[in-house]
Amino acid sequence: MAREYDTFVDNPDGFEAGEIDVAVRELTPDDRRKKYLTRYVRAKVAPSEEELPGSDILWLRWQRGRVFPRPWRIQVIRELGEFMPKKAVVRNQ
Amino acid sequence: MALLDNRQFTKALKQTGDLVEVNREVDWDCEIGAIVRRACEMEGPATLFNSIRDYPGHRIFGGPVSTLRRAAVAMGIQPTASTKEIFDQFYQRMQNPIPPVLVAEAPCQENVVVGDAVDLTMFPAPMVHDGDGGRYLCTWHFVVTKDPETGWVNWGMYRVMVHNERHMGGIILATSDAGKMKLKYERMGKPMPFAIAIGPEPVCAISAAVPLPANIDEVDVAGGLAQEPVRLVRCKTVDLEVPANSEIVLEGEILHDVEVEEGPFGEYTGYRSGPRAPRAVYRVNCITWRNNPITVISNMGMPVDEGQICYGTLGVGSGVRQALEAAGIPITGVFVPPYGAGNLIIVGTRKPYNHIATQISQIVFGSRAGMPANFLIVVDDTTDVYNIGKVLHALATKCHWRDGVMTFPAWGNPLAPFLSLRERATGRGGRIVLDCTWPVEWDPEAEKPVKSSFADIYPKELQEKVLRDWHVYGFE
Repeated sequence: MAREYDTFVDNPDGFEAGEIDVAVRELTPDDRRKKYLTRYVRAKVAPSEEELPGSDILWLRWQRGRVFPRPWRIQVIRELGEFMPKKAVVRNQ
Repeated sequence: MALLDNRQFTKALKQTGDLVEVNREVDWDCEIGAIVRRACEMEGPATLFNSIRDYPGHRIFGGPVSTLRRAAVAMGIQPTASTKEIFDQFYQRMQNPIPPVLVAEAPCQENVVVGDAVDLTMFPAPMVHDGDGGRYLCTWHFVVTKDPETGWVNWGMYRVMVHNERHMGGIILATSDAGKMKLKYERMGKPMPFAIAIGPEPVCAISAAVPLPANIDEVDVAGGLAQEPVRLVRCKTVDLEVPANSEIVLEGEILHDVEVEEGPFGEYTGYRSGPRAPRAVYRVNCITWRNNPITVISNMGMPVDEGQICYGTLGVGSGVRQALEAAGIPITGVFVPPYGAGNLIIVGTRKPYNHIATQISQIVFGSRAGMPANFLIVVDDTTDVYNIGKVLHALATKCHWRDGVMTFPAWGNPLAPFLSLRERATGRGGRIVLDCTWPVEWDPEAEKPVKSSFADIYPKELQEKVLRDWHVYGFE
């Protein structure tokens, strides 16, 4: 059975298929207490299972949380670690 | 009064009719959040959930101080006191701080895990709102940090989200006290030690939510609010102290060279307006907790909740009042109404000269407490600042369309919903001042409109007769 993940993107309508680095949240872990934990992964993403056979489900969310109604597919290639390198920019938020 | 921990506080709330206990099993994944949110929007009671899915033996206390009544109970004030009475008591007590005492043993250290044994998912951190960026373990808590140069210790209520078993992500604004300390550690190339007290005594959380000026000790203010010293205990792995009766304590370091994605989160403004973004990483090296721990949550959103009551009405209100009094402004009252979400400040003043509203705005928006707010309404001493209907009437009738409205650019609060994403990200915003006072040069008889009210437009003798005979006319 396919596992489910989600990720937050600027524009789900403009999300493109391919190989990307992405932060995903676990939605169907074996231990339910681990739900929503985040992983950074290198993954292939596609809009349908036909284009990515054997893949898992990837729900897209806008940056402010609303879920996009049509799920994508994801195939994790490798783990990228727990964090992102800090960028040298001044942020207001 | 006795300093109430959460166990005593829930009992006190039960006695005053301000708490509902839920004994059926409920889900940490949004169900608890939805219940607490609805109760907040109804200005209803707090909730103690006694059975949590996946977490036997744990409890969750939701909406601890989301009404002024409950803030009053936490401070040992009669819950039936008026808004003005509660605010005045709060204001008086916070100006009479009491230093803490250190104890050797503490309930919050009844259980301890360190290092690789740390697993944040052992606590029922709720998914507070559907679509939030993660599970927020820290919504009614404070983050303890120490200035690396001065040694001053800050308590601040900054939201923190579970990232994975050992790490959390959190928003620490550059304008906050912890943000300024974090920058110092980053320049030194060091992580910043922290402790987080989750579910401390309610007065401690209230004190941490108040935007006090830097170098004022929140723990002393909490003692003032309770009128007795807070009992602190040394942390196990960092050189910091936390309230001994906290439910859960996290110890660790805020990393200086990496980030994690955090948010979005429904906030005190009533919206989930900020996007998911790279933010501070909290590495947790030690967790201590009380037996049968109670995870305490605040569900921020549309009024009324702890954000509007503790941060807004009590916190911003008292900070602004302090700043105006220090500047010698002849104020007659300051009120930050809960439905103004901390963004709207009302100041009442006598008006000895024109443009006092401008002077007030410079003090308000220049103060630590008033800086993040966006709207200021200035009324004269004939308007009761606590009566929103009267304030609205003053706004609608006394604010000149041009001379009474001032706007100017200022730092943009990233949580301000009306700013664009770019404005929030770059800190570009503005302020609006609405002057609802008559010009001083208007002749009282020839030019100033006569208030058409019972108290103003009839002769005193007739008013007294009408009041005396009110029941005779047939009124109840």
